[in-house]
Amino acid sequence: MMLLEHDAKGLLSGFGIAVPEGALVKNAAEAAALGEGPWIVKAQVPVGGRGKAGGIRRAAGPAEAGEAAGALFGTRLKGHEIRSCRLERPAAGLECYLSLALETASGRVALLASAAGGVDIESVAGDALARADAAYDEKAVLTALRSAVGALPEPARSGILSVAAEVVAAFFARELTLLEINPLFVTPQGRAVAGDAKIVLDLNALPRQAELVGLLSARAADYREANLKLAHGFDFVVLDAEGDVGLVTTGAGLSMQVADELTAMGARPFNFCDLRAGGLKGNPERLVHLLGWIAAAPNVKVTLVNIFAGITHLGEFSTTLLEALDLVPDFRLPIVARLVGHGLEEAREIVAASGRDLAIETDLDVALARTAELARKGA
Amino acid sequence: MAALAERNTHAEPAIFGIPASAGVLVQGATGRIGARHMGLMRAAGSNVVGGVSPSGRTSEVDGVPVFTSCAEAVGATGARMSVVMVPPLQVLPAIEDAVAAGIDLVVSITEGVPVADAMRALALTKEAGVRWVGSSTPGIAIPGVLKLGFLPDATLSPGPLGVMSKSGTLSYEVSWRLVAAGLGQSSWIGVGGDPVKGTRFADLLPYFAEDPATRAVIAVGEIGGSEEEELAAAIRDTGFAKPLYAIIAGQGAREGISMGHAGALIAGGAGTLASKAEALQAAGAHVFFTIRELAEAVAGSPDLRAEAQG
Repeated sequence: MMLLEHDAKGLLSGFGIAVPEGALVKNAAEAAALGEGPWIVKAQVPVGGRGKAGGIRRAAGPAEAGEAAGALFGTRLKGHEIRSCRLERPAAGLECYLSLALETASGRVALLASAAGGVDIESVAGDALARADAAYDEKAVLTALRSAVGALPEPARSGILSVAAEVVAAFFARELTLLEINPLFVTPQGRAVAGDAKIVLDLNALPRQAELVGLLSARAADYREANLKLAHGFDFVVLDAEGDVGLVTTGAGLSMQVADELTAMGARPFNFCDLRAGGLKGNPERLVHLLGWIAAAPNVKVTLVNIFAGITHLGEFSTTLLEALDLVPDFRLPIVARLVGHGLEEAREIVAASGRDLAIETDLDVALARTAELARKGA
Repeated sequence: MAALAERNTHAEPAIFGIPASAGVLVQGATGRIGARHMGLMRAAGSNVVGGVSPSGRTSEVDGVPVFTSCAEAVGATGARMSVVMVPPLQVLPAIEDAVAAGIDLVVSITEGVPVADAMRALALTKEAGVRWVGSSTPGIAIPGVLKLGFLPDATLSPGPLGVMSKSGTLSYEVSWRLVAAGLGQSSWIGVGGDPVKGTRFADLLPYFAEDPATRAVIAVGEIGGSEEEELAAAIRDTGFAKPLYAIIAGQGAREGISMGHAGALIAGGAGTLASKAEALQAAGAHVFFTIRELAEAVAGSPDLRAEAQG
């Protein structure tokens, strides 16, 4: 999961890496109240290429900062609503580049440093670029980085070396999968300041990363998916706030596939979820949350339940689902329940005995078509 | 059933060069999941010879002896394969235990293993020459012969298809439809949905190329990472000649957010469905975006049709 730039810089700063003075604002008035310019107003969304997409603006003074932030707030950048902006003092210097990334295929750490950073690192060639790789080991990575950077021209060489140990320490201590600083401003004296920071966290490491848990939970609205996973033990992602189909599905791949096939049929899935039905163990809590979120969505017309029960028992699942429905009286949507596998007959009996209007369908294609039709008709 | 009969009469089935009848350990055998699936694995043909539980509080589960370490278990049973069914933060120590004991194949099913631990396990298994599959995989199987993990029995049937999958559930759905059409699996290898893993799609091409029971390959992929692109390159580089059918999930995924699997993450414009589909198509693979279209194409292929009808 990618950190917002503001938080990525906070993390770097904690390891002794200099970043431009800045603050996070939640609306235009806060932006205008930060004082005399100049400012750079940067939309906080977890995607690359914000500058090219219009998410970074310059402001000479407070009024302009307010205007620039006001124009960004509430709009979407590459599918993400802009909910906060970082206002930052412009930094200057030679634009360099530094990144550490896990190479998932080889199991090594890839190091990339350049005396010519900026927007497009891919186009940098030759002497200005230093590449290396190393085993997943803090000492080995630092040694390889120092050696590779030694070939760069000054002042890039001194500037990057001045933060090398801190950057490597942050990468290992926080179990990051990507740490990219682009640009890394380097002054003629060799002082380095992180102009931008892209950090990808490993959510699986959170059980032993208390500081990161604190960071994410303090900003619940900005890291909604990560916090939901931490709090409830399953994945839930809003795909389309105006969507017309709610999804109660399990398994990451099949859940994505169901959303894709509904989209191809003209429906608009409201959410992705990976319920991890095998972990419910008869407790309706996850389903209560999920049904509540779907019920609160403005345009959802129908909900598709899809459970391929290889191990899960459908009788037990149906009982849990009916309990959850009783606990969420606001949920009044029609349900297409595609259930197949272990315990299907018992599930049919349990659903029939409940008297709920809940049709069980075993064929996925039929269930998808019926769901798309109900979404279209507005049931 | 033809493929199974052929195996039984010609050569003893093997997985990654290890006889399928070799002894299997279940690490975490005394846990809720381990105990349950140990029984199902035995019923699916696996020769489970021991459990491992470091606590030492239980000496047997369903008649299977439980040891306190892999070394002890290997010493007593000669096991060569191990299935790791322990909580996420215990997976790396369990793999270290298996490698130190000389196990040749480790399958770890646990979801949620930290990437840093997976990096260490990968370096360790590579250096020791141990085949590691996982983590976050439903497992691997040669239907009717061997099952290591929890692949649902209703989706397993002997047949001509080599299945490789990043997603458990989507591969269940695909295999279930193909089994209904008369096409079962020669081997099914779930590589799992983690970004750093022991065995990747491309690693499996030589295995499926050499396996006489495999007549076509089904790759069940998803957005994130670069495995589908690596697979495409390996098809070209190795001149892989068997037909390969792929399905890729995640057209609607949002950039910057993991979609259920830790590895299902589009970051900085990399890992998109379009990139994967284009790479595989350029390598000559048949790529599909709906399960129905994939199943119809596979069942209707001239190479496999006779088997599907039989």
